[in-house]
Amino acid sequence: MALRDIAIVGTAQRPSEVNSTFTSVEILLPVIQQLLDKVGIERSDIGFWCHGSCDYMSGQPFSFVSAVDAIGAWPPIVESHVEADGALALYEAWVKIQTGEVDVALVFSNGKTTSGPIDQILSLQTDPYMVAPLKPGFDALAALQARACLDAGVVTERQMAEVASRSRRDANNNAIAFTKGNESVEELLAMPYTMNPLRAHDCATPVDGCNAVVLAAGDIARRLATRPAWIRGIDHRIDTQRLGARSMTESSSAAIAAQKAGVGKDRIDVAELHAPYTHQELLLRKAMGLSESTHINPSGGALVANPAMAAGLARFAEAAESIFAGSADRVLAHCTSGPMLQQNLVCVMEGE
Amino acid sequence: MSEADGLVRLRQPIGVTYNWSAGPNATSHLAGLIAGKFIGKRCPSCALVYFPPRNGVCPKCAKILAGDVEVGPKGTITTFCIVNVPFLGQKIKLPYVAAQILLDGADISMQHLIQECEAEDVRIGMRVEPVWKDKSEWGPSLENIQHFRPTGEPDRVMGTESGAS
Amino acid sequence: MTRHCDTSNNSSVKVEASREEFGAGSVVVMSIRCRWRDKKLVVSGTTSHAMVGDVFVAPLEVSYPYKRTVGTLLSRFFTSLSECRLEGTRGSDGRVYFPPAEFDPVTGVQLTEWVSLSDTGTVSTWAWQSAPVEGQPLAHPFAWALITIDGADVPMLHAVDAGSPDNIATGTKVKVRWAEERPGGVTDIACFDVVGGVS
Repeated sequence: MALRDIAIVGTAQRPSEVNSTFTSVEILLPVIQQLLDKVGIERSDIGFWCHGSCDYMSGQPFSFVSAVDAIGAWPPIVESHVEADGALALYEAWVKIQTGEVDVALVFSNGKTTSGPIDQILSLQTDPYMVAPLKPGFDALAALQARACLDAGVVTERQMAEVASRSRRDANNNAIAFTKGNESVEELLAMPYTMNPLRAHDCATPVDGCNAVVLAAGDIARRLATRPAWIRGIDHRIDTQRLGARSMTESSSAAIAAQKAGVGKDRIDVAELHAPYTHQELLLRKAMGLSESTHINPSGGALVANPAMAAGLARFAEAAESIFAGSADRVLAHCTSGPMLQQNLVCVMEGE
Repeated sequence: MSEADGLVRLRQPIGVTYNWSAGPNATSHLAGLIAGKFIGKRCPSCALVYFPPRNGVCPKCAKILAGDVEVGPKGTITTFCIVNVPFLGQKIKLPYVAAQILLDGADISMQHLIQECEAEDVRIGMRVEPVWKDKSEWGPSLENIQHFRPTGEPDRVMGTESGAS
Repeated sequence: MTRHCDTSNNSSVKVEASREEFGAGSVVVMSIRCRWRDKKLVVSGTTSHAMVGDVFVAPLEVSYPYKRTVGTLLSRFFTSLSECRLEGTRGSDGRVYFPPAEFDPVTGVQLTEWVSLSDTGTVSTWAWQSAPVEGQPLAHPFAWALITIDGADVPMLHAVDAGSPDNIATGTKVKVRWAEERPGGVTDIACFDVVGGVS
């Protein structure tokens, strides 16, 4: 079976905020409407809706069901949900279109990350017998990985601060980003550790946010967008969940996913990497074999705005926008999930 | 730790506290309850009235609900269930009746408890009214109502008012 | 702030008080009740509701009292742990896992060979928890660490009561500190202590 050509034809993101008093439905509805207006389609044109979110973040079992109010399920719609980042919902939507059952899909994701103790909530997904009862926060787990990388000489604290400094500067030009700044590497290195060896700027800023993209196949994509962002390769790999059994100094799942997605076949102009910690960006760049000429995270990345469950789809939106704008021809979008880069989804997109 | 079969079970409770926000579209509804009123909202597109106004969005049209509408206080039972199974912390005597009540003027029903009649007398179409707790106990919640009780009025046949389909 | 309320029996008045714990900028509305009991005025307050601007907010506590079944292999592991013994399992490539693996992480084969281990180990990586959270192994600052138990090849996660981040490094030797009460679970190990020297 030959694969269909599928592209992202439009994106919409909500500017990040913290301590939002809107409900998830109230923040999603305008973003979805904005996207439909942008692409010039109606709800009835969408063959498949796919949603990424996490009930653990909202504290309500089945809160994702109430999110269906934001898309209007009348007449009845074809809809699915992943208890994960919107990027993984995009992968499901891509597969759905590949089956030929539908031609157009809308993928959306949301996270009111600041409404709960996200650091502790995310570590609830760890081994329930051996890890979760100790209650290590997500930052602590990332810090263990960072320390291993520093000790092995794979990264330096200076390189981590360079990632932070660059990301905060780039965020100044991004209306979606939350953390912005102009600090030098020296100023950042002078800050105290918050979770030795991590400093505050090494960790992503949790924010409330949501986003959505429209996927379309073949000629429909060409009708809906002047320059669709064609998905040329997409792959998702998972490392063992046992923390001690995988390497702390490299990401084999990211390397395999990148290879399978065809990253190495040609130059990559822009890579939007979902790296909630500075050392993880360095690990990912190495795992995927990205060259110095690739522009990493022009949006500022997840470091400056991390709406959990939407930060990965945000990378897809940013990467696709650079193709729409004509500022890039071949881009990479990445999403991670689980502690210490356990799961990695890599996608390569091209303009025509 | 070990049980009769020699296998271990571990007590591992988890607990998280969140800052829950009802959202701006729920304010008139919740403020209404504090004042002893049932305030729903109307969809600007299909004109259906929602009580409670569920996220302030019409689930059919995906439009923000606009326009507060006072509904009830009386309503009609649209369906019900006689419960014979006790649950942890239960205080109500068994059997008890949980019912979906379509308040006058609303287009979706809400769930509450039916008391002050025998369970076997409850029926679809029965007219009911709220019995409120003492005013000093009122907060932004449907718990302000202790239960609903029959009004004694003649039953209403469903589908004959408020335009609900 | 001052409010006047009627102190006749059972009167109450609503008072607005700012309270950060409901979320930044929240205002809490309380019901203050005055009651006379044996000629003494008893004043009590309950929270009626809280708002941020004109939006209603409330703390939402979600908890589940899970009781987990652990299966055959881990039953043996947790039983030995409660008896202050460490046992790991050997993988198909010869590597010893502690805590034991039920199935080989690489080949998926069920593992059945048990290996007795000592109660000392080596830190293979660490991080510093400078502000502990309730429920973590220690209430004062401590180190998280991946620790390879002597005789095992794959490390485990636990806490080291190092006292200061200067007292711990990759290679530090540590020893199990058993919990006084051991009702079952990985917390039957209270934490690890530094036993001096870096390997």
